[in-house]
Amino acid sequence: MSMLEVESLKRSFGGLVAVRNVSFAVNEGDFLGLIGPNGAGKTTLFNVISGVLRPSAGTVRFLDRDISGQPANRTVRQGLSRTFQAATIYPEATVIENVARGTLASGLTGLCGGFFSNGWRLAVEEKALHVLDLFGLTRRAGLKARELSYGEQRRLGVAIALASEPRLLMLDEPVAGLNPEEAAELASVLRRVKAERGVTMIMVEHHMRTVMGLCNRVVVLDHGTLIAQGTPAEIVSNPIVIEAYLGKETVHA
Amino acid sequence: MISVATKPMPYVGIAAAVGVAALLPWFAPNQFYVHLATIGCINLMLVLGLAIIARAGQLSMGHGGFALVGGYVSALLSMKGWPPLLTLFIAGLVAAVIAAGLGWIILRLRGVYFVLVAFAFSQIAVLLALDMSSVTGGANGLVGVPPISIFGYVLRAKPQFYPFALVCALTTLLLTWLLYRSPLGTMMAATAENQRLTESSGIDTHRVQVIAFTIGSGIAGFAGALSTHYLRFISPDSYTFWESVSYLTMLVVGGRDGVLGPVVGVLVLTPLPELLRSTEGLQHIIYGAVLVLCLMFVPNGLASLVQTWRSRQRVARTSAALVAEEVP
Repeated sequence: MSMLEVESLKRSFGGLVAVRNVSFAVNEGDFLGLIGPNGAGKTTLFNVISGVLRPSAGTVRFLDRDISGQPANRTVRQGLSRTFQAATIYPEATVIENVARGTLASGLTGLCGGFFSNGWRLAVEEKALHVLDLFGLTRRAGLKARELSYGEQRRLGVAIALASEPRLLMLDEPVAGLNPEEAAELASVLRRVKAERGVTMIMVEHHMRTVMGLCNRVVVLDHGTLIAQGTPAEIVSNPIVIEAYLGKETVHA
Repeated sequence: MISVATKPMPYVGIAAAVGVAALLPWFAPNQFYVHLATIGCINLMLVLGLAIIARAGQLSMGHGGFALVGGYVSALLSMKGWPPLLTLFIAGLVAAVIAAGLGWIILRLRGVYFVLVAFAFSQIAVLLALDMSSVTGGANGLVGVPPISIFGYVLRAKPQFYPFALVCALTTLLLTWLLYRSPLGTMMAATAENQRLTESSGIDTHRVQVIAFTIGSGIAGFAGALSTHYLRFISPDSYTFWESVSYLTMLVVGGRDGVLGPVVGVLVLTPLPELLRSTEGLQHIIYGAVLVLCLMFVPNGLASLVQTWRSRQRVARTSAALVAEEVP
C-alpha cells in the first residue's frame, strides 16, 4: 500500500500547463527526490499535493484518502506537512515559540482549551524542545527567529514543519542558498530525523549531491511531465534525464 | 521557562494601577474626571475588541458600527422593559452574531478589501439607524434610555456608574489577557505574523480570524450598549466612522502587542482633547502633531518602549548565560 498516490495530476494556469498528467507513488519509508530543470513544475506539483493549489484534473490520495483540492490545513492535520522555498518562519517570535506554534494543530487542547491553565504551554514547549534538539537549535531557543543566521533559519523552517508530527514531510529545496557546510549539516539532520522518527520524505532539490546522498528514489520532471523515475544511480545514467538537463548531444567529439 | 518570568514587580504595578483607578471618585477634584474615567473604561473595551481583531492580523474599520448596533439593541430592548443588565449581554451577542456571519463571508477578502467591507458595514449601520425612524427615532435618536440597575440599585449618577464601567473594563482586560495566552491566542498571533506558515502548520487560519472578529466585535457591541445606558441616549451620530478611526488611533499610539498597548493608548488619548481644550483652536493641530510624532518615533506604540526595555534585558540575560556556559 502506497502512502501517497498521485494519479494523472494536471494543473494549468490559464493556457500554461505547469503539471501535465503526472502519476507516481510514495511508499512508507521512502525518501523521494523530485528533480528537474528550472520551470519544470516541481513547486507547482508540491503546491497541488499539499493543498495550496487545487488540481485542474487528477487525484491525490494520501493514506488511502482523497485529499485533492482540500484545504492545506486539513491535509496537515492528516499527517502531510511541507516546507517552503524561502525561509518561512515567524521572525518576531522566539525560536522555541516558532516550533511551539508548529505543534498546536496536533495538540489535544483545540481552540477553546488552555484558557485558564498554563499546562498546555509547558507540554507544547517540551515537545518543541525535543524538535529543537534534533535540529541542533537548543541553544538558540530564547532568541528571536530573525536573529538566527540564514542557515539556522532554514533549519528552523524544517523544524516547524516537523513539529506538526507529520508522517510524510515534503521539503521544497531545503538546502538552496546554503553554503556546503550548512547543506551537509542539514542533510545529516534530515537523515537523523528520518531514522529517529520514521518520517517518509519527499524533497525538491537542485543540489544533486544532497539528492543522491539522501534519496532512495528519484522522480524527474521536465516541462510539467514526468520523464523518468528510479534509483539515484539509474537516474544519473538515464539518457533522457541527461538530455533534459544538458540538451541533445549534437556534437560528437 | 522561556515564557514571561513570574516576577512580583508587574503584579505590584497592576495592583497599584487598579487601586488608583478604583479610588478615583474619592480624590477626583470634580465629577468631570469621573466622567472622563468612565468614557476611558468604555474606550478601553472598544480598543481591546479592536486589538483582538488586529491580533489575528485584520484591521476593522467598522468597529463603531458594531458599537452602534449594540447600543440600539440594548436601548430598544430595555425601553420595552427588559432589564438593562441582560440587554447589555444581548447587545454583545447580536453584534457577535452579525460579525460571525459577515466575517465568514468577508474575511476571505484580504487586506484592503476587508477594510473596505467593514467600513461599508459601519456606514450601512448608520444609514439604517437614520432611515428606520419608526424604530430608531431617526436622526433624533433614542432619548431616555433606562439606566442600568443591579439588584434594584440604579446606576444613575456618575460616581455610581463608574465602578460598574471599571469592573466591565477590567474583566474585558483580564479575558483578553487570558485569550492571548491561550492556544487560540497563539494561533491568532501566528496567523497575523505568517498566515501561509500557520495554515501549513495545520491551523484553519480563516476560522481563527472569524473567531477573533466575532469576539472583538461582540465586545464592541457590549461597550456600545454600556455607553448608551451611561449617557441614556443613542443616535446615529454616537458611533460614526470617526469613532472607528479614533479607536484605531488609540490602538496604534498605544501599541498592538499585548494588552498594555490599548491601556496606554486609552490613557493618553481619552483625556488629551480635554487637556488641549484651553488652547482654543489649536487643539486639533496639537492632537494631530502628537499622532504624527508617535508614528514617527514609536511606530510600534508607546507600550513597545516597555517591550524594548524587556527584550534588552532578555538579550543581556541570554548572552550572559552563553558566556557563563562557555567560560567555565
